[in-house]
Amino acid sequence: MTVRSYRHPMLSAGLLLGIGMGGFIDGIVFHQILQLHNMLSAKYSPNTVINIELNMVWDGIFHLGTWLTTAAGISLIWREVTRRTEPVTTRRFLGSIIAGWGLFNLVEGSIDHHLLHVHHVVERYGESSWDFAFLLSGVIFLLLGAILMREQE
Amino acid sequence: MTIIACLVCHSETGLALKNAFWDTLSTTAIFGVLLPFFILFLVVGIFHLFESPFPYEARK
Repeated sequence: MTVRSYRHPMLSAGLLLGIGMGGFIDGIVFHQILQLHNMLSAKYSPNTVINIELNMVWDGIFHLGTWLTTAAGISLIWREVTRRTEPVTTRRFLGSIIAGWGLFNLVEGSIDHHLLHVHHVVERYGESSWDFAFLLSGVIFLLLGAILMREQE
Repeated sequence: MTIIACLVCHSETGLALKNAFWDTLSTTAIFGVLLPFFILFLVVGIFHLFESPFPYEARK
């Protein structure tokens, strides 16, 4: 198998940053500020101190994953800054970040909300139209990002 | 992964799992966190290694 040339490091970096920041938006806005759900809120309802602590631990592990993804994106950017092999436009880079956010919503939503049922977007409703809206947002972000990434200079 | 976690916990503690953290670790939690990130990294990795479908005009 021949690996083809390494052509778009900035787009890969943008995707990783989008996934990481999309995860942070989920964790910060949905888990912490609005408290719509926690990582395992469908399995361990956060109505006792023990369950709240347990969810907090797994929210932390989730945030660790988003942090590592963001760090991987930053390291790719730094490597590209030192090599300068790819021309970059704001539009294309922004597109890759939005596409990464869409990827996050699509993959995380499919696995956690619909396949494993570890939590749902609005926990008190269970599996609801909010979960499908979350998936739809993933598709929209992915398409929007792809359109921006495709745009020629 | 779940099976390994179950075997380790059960062999160390007898039948019952010791605490809630290991209990969740050996059920769906580890998949809920790790599986999405694993798939996302796989997607970006494939995108990164192979020629991107998003062309650009190279500056000369």
